[in-house]
Amino acid sequence: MTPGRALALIALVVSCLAAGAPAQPAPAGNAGLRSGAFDPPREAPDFTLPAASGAEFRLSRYLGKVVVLTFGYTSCPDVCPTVLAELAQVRERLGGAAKRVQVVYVSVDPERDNPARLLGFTEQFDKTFLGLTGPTDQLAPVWKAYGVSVVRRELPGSQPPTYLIHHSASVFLIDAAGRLRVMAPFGTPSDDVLHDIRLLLAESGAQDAAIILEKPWVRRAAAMPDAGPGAPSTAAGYVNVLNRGKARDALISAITDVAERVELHETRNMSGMMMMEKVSKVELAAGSRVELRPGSYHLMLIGLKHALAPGQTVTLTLEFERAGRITTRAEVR
Amino acid sequence: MTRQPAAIAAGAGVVVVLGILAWAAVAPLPATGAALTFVIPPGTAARLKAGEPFNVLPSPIHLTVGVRDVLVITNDDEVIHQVGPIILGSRQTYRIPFRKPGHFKYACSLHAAGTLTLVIAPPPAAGLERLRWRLDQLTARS
Repeated sequence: MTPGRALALIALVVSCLAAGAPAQPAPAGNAGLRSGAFDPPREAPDFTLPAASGAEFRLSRYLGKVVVLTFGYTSCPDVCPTVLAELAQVRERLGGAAKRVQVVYVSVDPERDNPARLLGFTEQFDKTFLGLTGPTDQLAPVWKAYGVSVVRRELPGSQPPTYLIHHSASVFLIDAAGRLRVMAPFGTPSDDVLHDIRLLLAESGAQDAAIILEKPWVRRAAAMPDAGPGAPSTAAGYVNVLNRGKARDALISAITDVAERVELHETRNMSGMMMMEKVSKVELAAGSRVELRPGSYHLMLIGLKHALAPGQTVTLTLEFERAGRITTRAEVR
Repeated sequence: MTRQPAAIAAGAGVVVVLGILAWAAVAPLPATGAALTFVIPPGTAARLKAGEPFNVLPSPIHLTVGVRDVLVITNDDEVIHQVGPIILGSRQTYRIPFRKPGHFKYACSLHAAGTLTLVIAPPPAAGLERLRWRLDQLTARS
């Protein structure tokens, strides 16, 4: 036995006598996420792509849901079917909460993945999965924004000539506030992905919350604050508020990161004159849905801190009598 | 007769040491492994742009399930970096635990060879392998 080993044995004896303390420190918590987590989380790169179903998909329109984003192609022999089959199982295991989760599958093979083919492929796994494809010049920036490498490899000797695509098959989790929280590399146990989705759902309050906020957006005033001194520095916020609870509630106030204050307003038609009035609350009967929309109730963002640009997102925190504060992110249009 | 207590003490000592070695060979590993942390230092992008031969991270990176199985990468640079498939904003950290052995290869511009390799070894098996691992751990610490 070398002197080093002898010393180590002595140290081992000592460490044994130090009764059962864990040999390794517990890792610093990262909100309890089990897959690969980003800290601090940043806004997920937004993108617009044609969906295989024909509609246009825009990531930021899914605020309020947990988005499970992954990349692949329909001719993929093994990896992609595995990922999608696992995600279908995960969705099934989520039960009722699955409706707060959207799986999005972006093609890495625009040459072969036409919308019909992609739709047929994703539907094999789960009819709610959204497949996105389009021309390479639209897809490539999305691959790049998420660090997905896409390399085409010809299959030598194949008749007719064919190819495979080597691509990263990570699963990205984007929380209800639109932040990229997790990148789970291929091979991450699906139990861990399920755990993290549940955690993001619970965190956003989306799973069991009585109040659900849908389709939040902000409209810029016609003249913008960057137009010069004296220009209006207001904008209007809209959102659909759904009270799924068994008790009444009321929207009582709101704040945002982009304005000094937010007031609750109602536009009323007074003998042909459209009048805007400040209101102290917006009542929400049990099971009701109230739309804050142009010409009705809305949020008035007063004292904008900077100009708002179309496409950017702003944080809106709405306070309810019973449900407390709920934060969402709204797209500027 | 006078040597008997010394013999008993020596015998007891041997029994204790054997007991401890047996414990070290079979005792379960900690429930959570430790983290292996890498930091992309400030100025990395500038150094890479200047063409300095500069390895920010080793390759391969070795981890062991149940022992040192959490990879943490922090970007302290002012700009975004991509480490294999991980895009890290400035002052952002990515933390990933590994629970299964494996071998992963990613393209990586932060490696001089252009490749990041992760080797995740299985946990040391109960018996001689775990005993040797515990002794190595203590040797490394001392």
